[in-house]
Amino acid sequence: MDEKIKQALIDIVGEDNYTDSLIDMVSYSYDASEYSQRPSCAVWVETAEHVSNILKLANREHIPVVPRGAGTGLTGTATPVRGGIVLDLSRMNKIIKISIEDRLAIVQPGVVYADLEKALAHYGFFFPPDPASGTVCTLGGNVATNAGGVKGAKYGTTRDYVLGLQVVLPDGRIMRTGSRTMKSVSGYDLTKLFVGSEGTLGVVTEIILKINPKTTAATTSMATFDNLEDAGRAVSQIMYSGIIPSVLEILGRDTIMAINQNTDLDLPEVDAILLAETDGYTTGETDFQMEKIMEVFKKNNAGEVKKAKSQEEASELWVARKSAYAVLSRIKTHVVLEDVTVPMAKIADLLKGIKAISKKHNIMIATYGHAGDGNLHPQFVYDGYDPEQVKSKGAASAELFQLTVDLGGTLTGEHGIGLQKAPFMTLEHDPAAMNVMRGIKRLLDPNNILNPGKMALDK
Amino acid sequence: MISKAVLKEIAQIVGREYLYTTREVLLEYASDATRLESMPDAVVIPENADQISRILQLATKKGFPVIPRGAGSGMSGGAVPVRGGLVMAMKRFDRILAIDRDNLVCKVEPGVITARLQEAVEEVDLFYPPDPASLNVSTIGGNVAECAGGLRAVKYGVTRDYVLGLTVVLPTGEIINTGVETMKGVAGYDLTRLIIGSEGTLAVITAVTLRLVPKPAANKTMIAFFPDVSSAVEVVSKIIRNKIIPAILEFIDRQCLDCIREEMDLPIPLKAGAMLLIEVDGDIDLVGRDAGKIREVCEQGKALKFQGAANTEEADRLWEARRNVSPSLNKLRPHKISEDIVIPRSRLSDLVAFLGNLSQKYGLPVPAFGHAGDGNLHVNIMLDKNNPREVEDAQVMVRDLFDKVIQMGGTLTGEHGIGVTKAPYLEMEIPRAGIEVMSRIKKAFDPQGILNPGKIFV
Ligand SMILES: Cc1cc2nc3c(=O)[nH]c(=O)nc-3n(C[C@H](O)[C@H](O)[C@H](O)COP(=O)(O)OP(=O)(O)OC[C@H]3O[C@@H](n4cnc5c(N)ncnc54)[C@H](O)[C@@H]3O)c2cc1C
Ligand SMILES: Cc1cc2nc3c(=O)[nH]c(=O)nc-3n(C[C@H](O)[C@H](O)[C@H](O)COP(=O)(O)OP(=O)(O)OC[C@H]3O[C@@H](n4cnc5c(N)ncnc54)[C@H](O)[C@@H]3O)c2cc1C
Repeated sequence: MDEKIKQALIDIVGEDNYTDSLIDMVSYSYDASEYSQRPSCAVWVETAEHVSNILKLANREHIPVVPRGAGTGLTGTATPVRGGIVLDLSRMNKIIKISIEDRLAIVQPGVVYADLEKALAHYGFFFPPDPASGTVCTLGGNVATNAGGVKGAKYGTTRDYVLGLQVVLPDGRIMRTGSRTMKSVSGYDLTKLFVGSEGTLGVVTEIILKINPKTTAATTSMATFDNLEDAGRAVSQIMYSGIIPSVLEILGRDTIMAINQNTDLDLPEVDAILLAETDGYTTGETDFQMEKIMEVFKKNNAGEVKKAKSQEEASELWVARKSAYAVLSRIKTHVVLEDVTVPMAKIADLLKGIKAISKKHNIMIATYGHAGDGNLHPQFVYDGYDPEQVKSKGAASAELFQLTVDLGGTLTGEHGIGLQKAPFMTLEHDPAAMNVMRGIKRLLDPNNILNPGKMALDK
Repeated sequence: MISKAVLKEIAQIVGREYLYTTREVLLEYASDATRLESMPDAVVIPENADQISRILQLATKKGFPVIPRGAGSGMSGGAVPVRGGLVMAMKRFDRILAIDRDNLVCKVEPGVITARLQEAVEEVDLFYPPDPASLNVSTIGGNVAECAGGLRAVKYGVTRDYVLGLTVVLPTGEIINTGVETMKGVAGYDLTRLIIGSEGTLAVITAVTLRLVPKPAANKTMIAFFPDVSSAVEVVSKIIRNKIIPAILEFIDRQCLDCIREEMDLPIPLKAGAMLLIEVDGDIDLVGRDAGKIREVCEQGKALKFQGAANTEEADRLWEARRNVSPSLNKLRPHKISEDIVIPRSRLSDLVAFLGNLSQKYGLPVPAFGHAGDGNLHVNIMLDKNNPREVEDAQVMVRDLFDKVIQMGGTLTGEHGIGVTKAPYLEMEIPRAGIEVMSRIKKAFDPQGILNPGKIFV
């Protein structure tokens, strides 16, 4: 880093909040994806003014700035592909206010998801998106990627809970969007524009979140299917039945086999397992809802249908789902977790298509995910040091994206575009829509300093 | 003014019978529910997106305003052609294209009337929750463009929460699809939600993909009267603290109650200073449990009177109170300025107290009612528009009200939009940087500024 700029940064954040040591640069070079690139330096910011002053400087000097929460992103969104300054927001981690009366929480972006969850539990409330990375990822990262989770089918994603933001624009101006109210239609919805923008339009420095009362009872069940169509139909029928499960997850055959080979869970080896949870305030109520779901399972030719009789039994059932990512990550040197989403009734078609792609390219693709909202996670398992397999993986994922779009789906339900899916943006978006997005980016960030190289915005 | 030659080109695009320039027709399209009036140069009723695309290309080239229009029930002047130009009525886009039960989505054209869509989906046991009071006339396109809310917003959210994707024509003529047909998606900037609530200033909507939910199996309506606002508000908080989010939680203040008292079958206690209308819905067991708990909370909370409806007829009678409010206010004064502010719910009592002071200070009645559950109050400043002093005072009162609302962390409009009527006040809420960002976005979509000019920011 240029000495003058280094000094200017230190003047803004202080000596202790600046680093350009090799070891730090290596840790900031990647996130949870397969990409990496070292930045020139990183700074820990503590206030919106810090962020503002840094952006003013960077904008003047045309230096890339990459906002970063916990670096758990799966698409390379926090990777500093063009070098520059990593803006680490993890020290802006105060919960500013929780108001049950107003049904909201006001937080700084560096607050870890799980910390907010703990604080809210104290009042019997929760913030529903619930990403699987919740114990580490930050709320700023959740907002920037519009994170979702297993409860999406019933409770929606981060977007549905963001009421307002404080954002620092690329030119350093600090701006508030939205309000503390449950609804507002004052002018364009800038809040929602920043949600999911992957740190390319502004740096989020404060977040106003809507919160929900927390349920106190849950019932879990599972069902096995020898036929993907039956499982797919069961999902649609459940969602239509009037009972909205709080969780409805699917495990495909490859995932089940891998779990069995690597754990002692001993799952039934079938084409698909569906796991469902209903939530509410009394077991009577959640059991009643689960009865209806189990009827749908049975009506659709489920093999085994089992209701967890205790908390322990329920946890056992969830262990299988929760261990999928870790188990699959251990099989070969590399994994890539995809995040395609299709209309619910197309789940069986997607699973069958994935099977065919896997066979054609001779690469392992194990699938599991959020059946209730059609968001599946096909996980590619391969040897990243074998050029042949890397090539197959590339070809197979391109085919997966085409298949998804052909089924009326979207490339990403929750992980975002980042670097990984940037080349495929035009598969999903019309050239004119891409132009509008690029136009917005250009008008807000004319020097392209904020997280450049992402989302196919500066092609 | 649009020249004769250009009008001829437009007629060639849509067919002569769908272009109007006669005075009677222009008058029909000169205003909306605000009664503001401004004459357009012409009215066009296009049939498909391709025609719209060609008209917008022409407008961008020649530089005349185009004003998209649904039913004209807007409350902030969004569809009023304040700069003249071409009103584009979306009447012929009136088809429900698909209702997909398996995926809980439907696809409709923007001219479909809200109530018609609701009936159609309810026929297959599905439910489209947004229910603006204007639903028998308003269009889905207008609902999307204004991000309409309604009574059920406290539990079910507003129009925005149901729009998955759009087909729109950009001011430069390109037809694009935004969003997804799936339950979720995060690919690229959220153009869908940017266009929702943009009041016809960014693009003309030609198709809408909406998320549906299963129809709730049961519901129950209740009504409760309280001696004062603060005890009603305390009950609202307590209901939420009991982890019940009712589908509907409406509030009516003392002045409104006084206006409807005589016309009601249902006796209203003389001492009543506030009324709550509550509806819970969902699974039948759940509804019973929630209703029981709400009754308990009301009775512990100083309710003068509580009544639950045993059946739909009784529920209808309870509803009468809420429905009668708006029209009956004219007993107080012939005209009203109706605002649509939202505040954090905990400030509700403070705001109502403030309204009392405001009314006293200027001598004009200020009755309020609205969606207590989400803090969205309809504040009515009653006046006689033929009395210049009252008109002047009312203007000052609006500004005082907005000042207070912003100070409380609120917003100027919860569902009616900025349009023309609130444009002068936008800067009170949105910081300069925000307005500037909005106008840059407007530029990215509409470089020539032809689409619905003179709205939102001026
Ligand atoms: C094991 C595992 C499980 C996961 N499970 C899920 C899941 O269930 N659902 C899901 O949605 N995701 C999941 N993820 C992905 C990831 O955790 C989410 O995308 C998360 O929201 C990222 O948060 P972060 O704090 O790590 O952000 P980072 O990775 O640091 O950053 C992500 C993006 O946000 C931007 N950003 C971060 N903070 C700010 C800010 N304050 N202002 C502006 N931009 C900012 C960055 O520039 C970057 O573009 C998972 C990841 C892993 C490794
Ligand atoms: C008695 C009454 C009660 C009401 N109650 C409520 C209520 O409870 N909640 C609520 O939110 N609102 C309410 N409203 C306001 C109004 O009905 C809503 O704003 C409604 O959404 C407007 O729909 P419309 O079809 O009449 O649109 P219009 O008034 O015709 O247009 C409104 C705006 O949308 C734009 N527009 C219309 N169609 C399109 C399109 N296809 N593409 C792009 N832009 C378009 C117009 O340019 C304009 O800016 C009420 C109005 C009345 C008169």
